Amino acid sequence: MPDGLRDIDPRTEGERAADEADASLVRRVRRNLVLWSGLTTLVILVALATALYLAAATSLANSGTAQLEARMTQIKGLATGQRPGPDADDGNPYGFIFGQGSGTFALILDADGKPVQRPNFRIPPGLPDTQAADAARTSGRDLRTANIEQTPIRILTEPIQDGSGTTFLIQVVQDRTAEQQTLAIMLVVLLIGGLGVVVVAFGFGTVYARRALIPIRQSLANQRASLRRQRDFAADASHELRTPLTVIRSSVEYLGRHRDEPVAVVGTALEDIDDEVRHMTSIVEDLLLLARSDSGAIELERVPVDLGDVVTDGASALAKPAADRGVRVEVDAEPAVVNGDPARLRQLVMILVDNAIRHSPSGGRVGVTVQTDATGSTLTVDDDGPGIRPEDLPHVFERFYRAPGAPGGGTGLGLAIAAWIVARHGGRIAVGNRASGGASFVVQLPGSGTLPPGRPATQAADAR
Amino acid sequence: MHLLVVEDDPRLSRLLRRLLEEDRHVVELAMDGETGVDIATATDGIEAVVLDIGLPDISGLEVARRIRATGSDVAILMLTARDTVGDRVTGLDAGADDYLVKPFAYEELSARLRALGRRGHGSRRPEPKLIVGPITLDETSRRVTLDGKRIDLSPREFSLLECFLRHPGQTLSRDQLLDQAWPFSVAVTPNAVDAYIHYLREKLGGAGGLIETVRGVGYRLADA
Repeated sequence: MPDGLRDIDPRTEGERAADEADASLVRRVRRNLVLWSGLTTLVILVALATALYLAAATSLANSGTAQLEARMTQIKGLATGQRPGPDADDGNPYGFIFGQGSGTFALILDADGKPVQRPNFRIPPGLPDTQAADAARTSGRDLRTANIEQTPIRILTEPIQDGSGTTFLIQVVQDRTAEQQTLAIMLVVLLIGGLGVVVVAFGFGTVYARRALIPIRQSLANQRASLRRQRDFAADASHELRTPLTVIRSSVEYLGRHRDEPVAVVGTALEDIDDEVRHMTSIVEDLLLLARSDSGAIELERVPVDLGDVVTDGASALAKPAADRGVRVEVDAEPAVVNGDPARLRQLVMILVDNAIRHSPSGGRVGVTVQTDATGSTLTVDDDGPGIRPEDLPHVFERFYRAPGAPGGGTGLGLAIAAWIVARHGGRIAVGNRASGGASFVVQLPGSGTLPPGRPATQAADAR
Repeated sequence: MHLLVVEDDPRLSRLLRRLLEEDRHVVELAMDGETGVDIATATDGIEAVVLDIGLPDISGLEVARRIRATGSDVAILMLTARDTVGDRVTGLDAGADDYLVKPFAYEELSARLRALGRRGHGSRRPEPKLIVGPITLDETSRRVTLDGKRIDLSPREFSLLECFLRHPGQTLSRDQLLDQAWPFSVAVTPNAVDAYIHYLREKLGGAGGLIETVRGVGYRLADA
């Protein structure tokens, strides 16, 4: 490849497809969410606007009708002389009668439906409304709306009889222009406003749907990542086992070539096989422990344990490998009682101390201390090694994580197991670099720090 | 062949070196990727690189890319513990010529290296044998016969003869011969080449004359 480099996506083809499927599912859900919430808003808004419009129209019509009826009553009073109205001053009940400021006018029709007219009055074309007059004559009352010369009107027609017994019709007419205008403005406001509200609702719907789906996307991504971690774990485990297998296989081939030679000559191949089998055994044990811890199949004991004892015991068990590497292990442990599993706590100490020994230079010192305070006990393991690069710090407790250039020999699982043991004891584990160089692991375990009654106090000095 | 083994596992690298040297290869060892790139690109003496992917500093893939980035066409055989198709494709795309999944049989590694060696010299000979005149070098059994009779060569003599047989008729400088037949870690002067050519000619008897001295340059195997 001339350009040499290319990006490597850690995902497999299948995972990429699955991620893509997740993304499209999320997109579809989001689109549906926005669409349905938008449509719901639209339907509610249309219903509300319709109701509002109808209510307003009815209310305006009712008040208009009420005005017409009031006028009708007034005119009837004038016509029959029973109740003089405010404009009775003109003394003539016949002809056009205008209500002052009422926006209405009235016509009086004779029995044939002809307006009874004063000579100087002009009747607008289209009036009187003969259909209304006919209807009123038969039914006794007629209320209708009509248009004359594009002017919307409301007409109330009722018959009356004057003192002489002659039947007249009174037609009260109202101009509905203002009413229509009010309704038209209202319609425009409702349409524009409603449209705006729907647009805004879609907008907010999109934003909120996106926001609401974030946890779901994260959950999907977490699932995917967890699957990937499992796959990596399996791949790492197989990787860790394959190199020792290669050594064993090649060693056997080497022995096969030299089958006639004395063991003294080919002994290193046998030692290699032995070492690799041991190494593989410890990897398999660690793997099994982690697999069982993942499935929650491991029960931990909860008994009072003196962490000081555990540390002293664990450190002395590692005295030989430490001496082989020329590393001094110094223990300073005060009695510290925690509730826990003695075997697991010992394993924790062994992992941390073994790790410190392997990272220490020859002649180096590994310091192990146990202290107690009101909240619990603190175990610290320091070494004189090169320390941990800042970029590796977040990863040291990951399974099979090895910092570049880290010394071999471990299974790559020790610190992951240590973290699990601490977590199961309700404690915290932290790692950092000391000012003087070298790494420092700090484990905090909850516990009273005092000995339970009936148990002889163990002196740190005795334990050492 | 002059080989470079880049493998961080101390036991495996030691074992590979032992087995490969028994097969009369000249073996360089690198325990990390940077050293591997340095050795592979320092000279053109290396004929094949056995490259582990899982290295402590930079991955074997990166090593292969860097070696290829220098324009080197050295044969690269990648060793890896990952065996998915994607891993193999990535390895080959990074510049590897061949790919072997751990745990492998040494016999297979050896056969693949021979195949890479043959390919690298532009010929696909049906038989893994280098023959010039009466001299036959069997790459598989790593033996030399002269008129059908086996002759016993030291590893260095074997490597020198292998160089000549791979490049018949071609004049090879003392430096070229040093690069190919001696490990880099061994401090030698070009005079050592003359000394070993002398031994080799003696062991080849009458056929020793096929190795001609090219004055002021080096040596040449007459293309009989």
